Amino acid sequence: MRPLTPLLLTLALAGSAFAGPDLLEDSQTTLGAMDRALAAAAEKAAPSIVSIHVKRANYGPKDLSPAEKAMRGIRGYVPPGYFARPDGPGSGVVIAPGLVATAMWTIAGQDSVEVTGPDGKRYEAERVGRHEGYRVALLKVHDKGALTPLAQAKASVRTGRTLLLLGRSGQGNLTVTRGIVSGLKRERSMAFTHSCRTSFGNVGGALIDLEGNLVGVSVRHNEKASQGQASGVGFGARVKALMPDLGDLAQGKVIEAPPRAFLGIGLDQRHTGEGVRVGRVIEGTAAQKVGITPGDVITVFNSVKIEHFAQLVEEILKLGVGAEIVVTVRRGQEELDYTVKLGARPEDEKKK
Amino acid sequence: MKHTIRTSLLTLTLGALLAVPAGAQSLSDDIKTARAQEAARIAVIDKVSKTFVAIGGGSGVIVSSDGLILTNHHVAGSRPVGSTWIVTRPGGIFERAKILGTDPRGDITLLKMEKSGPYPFVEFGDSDAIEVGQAVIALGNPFGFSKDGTPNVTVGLISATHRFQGGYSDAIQTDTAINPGNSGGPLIDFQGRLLGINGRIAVRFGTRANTGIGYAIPTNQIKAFMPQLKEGQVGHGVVRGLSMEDTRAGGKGARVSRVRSGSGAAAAGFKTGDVIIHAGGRPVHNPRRFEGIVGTYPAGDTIEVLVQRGGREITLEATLEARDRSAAASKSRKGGYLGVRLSSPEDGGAEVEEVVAGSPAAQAGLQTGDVIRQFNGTNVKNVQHLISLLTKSRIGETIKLSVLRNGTLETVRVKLGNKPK
Repeated sequence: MRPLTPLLLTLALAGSAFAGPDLLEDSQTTLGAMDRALAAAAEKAAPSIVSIHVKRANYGPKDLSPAEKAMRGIRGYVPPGYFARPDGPGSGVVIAPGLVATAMWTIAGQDSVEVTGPDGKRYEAERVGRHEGYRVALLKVHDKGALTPLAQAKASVRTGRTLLLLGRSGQGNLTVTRGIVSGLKRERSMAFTHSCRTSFGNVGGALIDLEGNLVGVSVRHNEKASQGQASGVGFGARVKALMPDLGDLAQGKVIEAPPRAFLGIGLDQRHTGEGVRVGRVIEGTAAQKVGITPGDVITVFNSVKIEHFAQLVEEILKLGVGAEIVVTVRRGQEELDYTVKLGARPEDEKKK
Repeated sequence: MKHTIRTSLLTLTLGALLAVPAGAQSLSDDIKTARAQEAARIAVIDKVSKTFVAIGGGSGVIVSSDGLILTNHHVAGSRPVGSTWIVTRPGGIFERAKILGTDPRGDITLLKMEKSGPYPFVEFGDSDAIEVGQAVIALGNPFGFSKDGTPNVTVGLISATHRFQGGYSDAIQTDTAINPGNSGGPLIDFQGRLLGINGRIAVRFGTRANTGIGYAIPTNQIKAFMPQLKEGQVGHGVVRGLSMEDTRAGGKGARVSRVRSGSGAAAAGFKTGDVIIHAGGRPVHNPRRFEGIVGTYPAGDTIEVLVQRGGREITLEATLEARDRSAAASKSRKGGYLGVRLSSPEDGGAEVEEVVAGSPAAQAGLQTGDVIRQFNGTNVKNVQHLISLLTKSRIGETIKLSVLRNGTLETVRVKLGNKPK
């Protein structure tokens, strides 16, 4: 009778695959298609997901930053060390032969770094470059043959798109959380938000699409969406945006977030008509230098008709510091054209 | 015989396996189907995202072509009715919207765009028709990360319906990631209909991030208050003079334990011993659920209540009276800190409206809906009385409270703390 057991199991499995169509509106054939596709996607991407261990000299609780203090809220209590970086490994993704991309936050510091592959083998790794805008850092693993790079997704990052966040634990287990792309153009347009639950362990891991291709790297931008509690608001860096700089980063280049172009006006929010009415002009900026004054209504910027403030900001950010463009303003009955050389945002300047 | 059994089972198995290719799909088919499901999701998200507005530190949603906006009272209600907010629509469009009315207890504020539109909007769904497990979308601006008015979009499930959470007396519970900043934003089904306004999350230790438990105010409640919201201030309804307890069997309704003579309850025809089993067309399984249903109607509305009386079922009509609006928080005062928001119920005592996460009250297990009857053996008359008793207490002192919870008196000991800054 022994052979009966596996047969019965097979029967049971076959039965369970045909859960009634009344459970969901999907037909029998499509029921679970998404789940099956995602399981296959995770399996496909798994060989490219690594665990990263940093041998930090000191893991002790650190003082809370002002942002973290604000996070505590007015009522709350946070146990000591709640925000401290835990003494556990983070995750990374093999992005090219011998190159692992991860979150800057995961490997911050000077101590030595090790990468554990899917086979459980440990590799010495070396910090090379990092992109401070995207918050992505690159590690070089000298044993090139061992790790499989993950193919890049073709489709663009779009709100609502299915994502999996893959990480790897210190014991070598793959970890998977599921979500969607939640929002674009976050953190100075350097990141998108996603809803995959993010922990200290999977920061730096791969955000993949339902075909198992790499969409982005899970990164940490902001302490407000604490990775300690997996708020459901995580950040991702688009791999497509990162790729052009990959060669430089592999050579050890540190790319700073480029300073943003700056016109130097404040919005008059009371204005609801077309264009953008200038509320104030900031001292020493491009706008002030050419003589734009409060009350002017900006109607055209660099040949683009301006309907509202965010559109103007977007047009400014498309340009680099030093770009020369024409701004058309309405002042009373007059239409005036100014040629403006854009400066840098004051807070970006101070950073340097 | 053994062989025969084996063969027939094998045949069965083969039959089942053979059926698989007809039913199941290859991986590429699965991916195709999943891509189609994803595309359908994106289409709904694209459509409803246009109705989103960012307002103050929170979120809101446009619910009519002429620009009516719903948000939470705790997002926009701090300003007086008639005053203006600047809201941000997706793409960073700033527009002015005026407060038409606000409902502090129900945590809803209604605004209207100054421009006449037409605006993209979400239609109201039927929040009593939703099912636990159904997929939903939340739009919001959690943590304020969106700078251009585009919402942060999260998807999840309806976890529970008709949860009693004080002022959120008929709340929808969802596991969709909602966080500080999502407040006032919509909870929407995959037909693009509004099911509720997200407003609360369950957290511990003041760590203000999603834990998988979020609450929304249901649209059917909001619909009932719309006429009043358009006029300004809203008054919630209550049946006065009605004391209830759990049925002995439990979960079989709310047993009327006392009806005060001359009260609204007496006028509606309630009698001691009645068991309330339906109210406003919805089943009632315990006293709290009855309060929860009543909480979804404004004062002045009449609801039908079905009661069992001596083996018969009788329909009563109860016209709701205005609820005591004086919800009081234990603000700046001397003495120990409890960590609750309170209101004065009809029959005396102080009702817990909200328990502050991580507070001494939370640690002692006080719950929303508890009525504090006694404080160290002294009968509590109302909220003001309880606050005066607390004022005389000391930080670190353990007090003994007698609380009425679902018709049963329970003793709760609370070690009073230091008021947080």
